[in-house]
Amino acid sequence: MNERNRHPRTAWWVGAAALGLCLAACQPLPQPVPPVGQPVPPPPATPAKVELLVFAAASLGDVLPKVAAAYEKQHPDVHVVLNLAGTQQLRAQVESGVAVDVFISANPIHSEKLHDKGLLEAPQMFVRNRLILAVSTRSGRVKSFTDLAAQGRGAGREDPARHRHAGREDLVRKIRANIVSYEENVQQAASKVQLGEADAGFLYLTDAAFKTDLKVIELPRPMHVEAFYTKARSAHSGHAAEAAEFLAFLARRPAVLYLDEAGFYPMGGP
Amino acid sequence: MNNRAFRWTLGSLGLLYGSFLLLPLAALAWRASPQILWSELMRPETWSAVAMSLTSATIATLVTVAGGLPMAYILATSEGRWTRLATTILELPLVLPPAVAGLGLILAFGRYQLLGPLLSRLGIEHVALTRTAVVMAQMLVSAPLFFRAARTAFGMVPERYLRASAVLGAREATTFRLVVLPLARGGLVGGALLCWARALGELGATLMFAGNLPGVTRTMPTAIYIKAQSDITTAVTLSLLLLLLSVAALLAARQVAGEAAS
Repeated sequence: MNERNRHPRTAWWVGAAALGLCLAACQPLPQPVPPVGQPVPPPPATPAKVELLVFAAASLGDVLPKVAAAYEKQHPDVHVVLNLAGTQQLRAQVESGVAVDVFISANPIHSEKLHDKGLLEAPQMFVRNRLILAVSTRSGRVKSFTDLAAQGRGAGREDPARHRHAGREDLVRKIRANIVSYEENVQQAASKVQLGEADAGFLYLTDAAFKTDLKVIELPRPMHVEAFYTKARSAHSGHAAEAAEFLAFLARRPAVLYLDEAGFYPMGGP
Repeated sequence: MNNRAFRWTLGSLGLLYGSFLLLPLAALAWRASPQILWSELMRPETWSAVAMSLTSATIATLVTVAGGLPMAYILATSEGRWTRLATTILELPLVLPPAVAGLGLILAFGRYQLLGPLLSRLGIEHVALTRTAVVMAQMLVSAPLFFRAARTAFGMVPERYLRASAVLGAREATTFRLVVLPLARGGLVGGALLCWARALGELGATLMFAGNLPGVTRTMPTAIYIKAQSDITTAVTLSLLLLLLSVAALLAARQVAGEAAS
C-alpha cells in the first residue's frame, strides 16, 4: 500500500523538477556581483555609456585590453567591448550579421572581403608582425635556423612550406622533416618550446614577447614572412564617431607604446 | 497513478532525453556533404588518421584491461578506508578536463620534467609528441571508465559462490578463473567497450601531450578539430565518418562478446 502511494508523488516531483529546469533556463542570468572590498559602481547616469564593439585578432589579446583601458580613461562616456578570436572566426561572425563597430584583422584578406561585401569601410594598414624561430633555452639543441634542418624537434602552427621561399626549398624541406607537431594555435606551439618538448618553434614575434625559456632567432631574408594587420570601421556602426576616434587613438600614444612593447611594429620602415 | 499514466510519464521524459541526444548527431548527418565524404575517403591522410585512431584506442584499451582488471579485482575484494581512498583516486581522472590531463602527462613524462631524466637514462629521449603519447593520453582519460565497470562487475559476484568454491578446495586463482571471470564477463566487456569508445573520441589530452602530425600522431578527433577551424563542412563530414566507424565497431564487438557470453 505504501509502495503504491509513493509512485504518483515521484512522478509529481519529476514533473516539477523538469518544469523548474525549463523555467530556470528562461530566467535572465543574475547580474555579476562586484568583488568584495571594491566600491560598488554607481548606477549608470543618463545618458547611458556608449558600448563600442571592437572585434580583434586573438594575437592582440595582450595589448588591446591595455589600449581599451587607456581609451576609456580619456573617454569616460565610452565602454569598449573586446571580442578577441581568430580573424577568420570574427569574419564569419560579422558575415552572419553580428553587430560590430571596429574590426582589426591579422590578415588583410579577411577585412578586404568584408569591405567588398559592404560590411566594413575601407580597411587601413595598422601594424606588422613577423614569423620568427623561437628556440628553447631549456633544451639548447637547436641554436640556429640551419640547426633545425639537421636535427632537433620543431613545432609550429602551420606548414613552413606554405610560404614561398625562393632558392631555399631544400632547406625548408629538411626543416619540415624535423617538425613533430602542428599545434592548434601559436600559443600551444610556444608552450611546447618553453617546456623543451620541442627544440624550436615557428612563432610570430609577438607570441614570443614576455615569454621565458625561449630565444628569438630571426629567419633569413628570403624566408621572411610578415603579417599585416588592418583596422577598419564597420559600414553600419551605430557609433561611427566613437569608432573613428578609436581608430585614430590606435595610432597615438599610449597605444603605440603598448603595441611596440608587445613586438608589433608600424607600417613603413624596414 | 495507474499503469498507463506511469508509462506515459516515463515515455515522454525518455523521449525528451532521446531527442536531446540525437539532435546533434542528426544535425551532423544533415550538414555533411556526400561529395566531401567521397573525396575525403579517397585521401590517404584520412585513412592514416582512421588507422591511428583505431589502433591507438585498441592498444590503450588492452593495456588498460591488463592493468585495470587486477587492480579492480583487488579493490573489489578488500574493504576499509584505504580501499575507498584508492578507488576514489583511481577514478579521479574522470573529472579532470582532458587538457589538464594532457598537461599532467607532460609534467610527469616530459623531457625536462619529473620522470624525464630517468627515462633519458633508460634511452627514451622523447615521450611527448610521439605515438606512444597518443596511447598514454587516451589511457589516462578512458581507463577510469573500464576500472569503474570492472570493480562493479567483480563486486556483483555473490560472495557465497567464492566461499563455496573455497570450501570445495579451490585456490583463489582457480576460483578467479572458473567462477569470478565468467560471472563478471558481461560487465568487463561492457567496460572495455566504453573505454575503447572514449579513447577513440579523445581530443584534449592528445593534442596537449601528443601534438598533431599528419600520418604520425594525428587521430580522427585531432583531424576533425584542426579542420573545424578552417573548413566546417569537411570537419562535419569527417565526424560523421568517425561516428559511423565507431557504431560499426561497437556493434561488431557487442555481437562477438554477446555470442561468446551465451
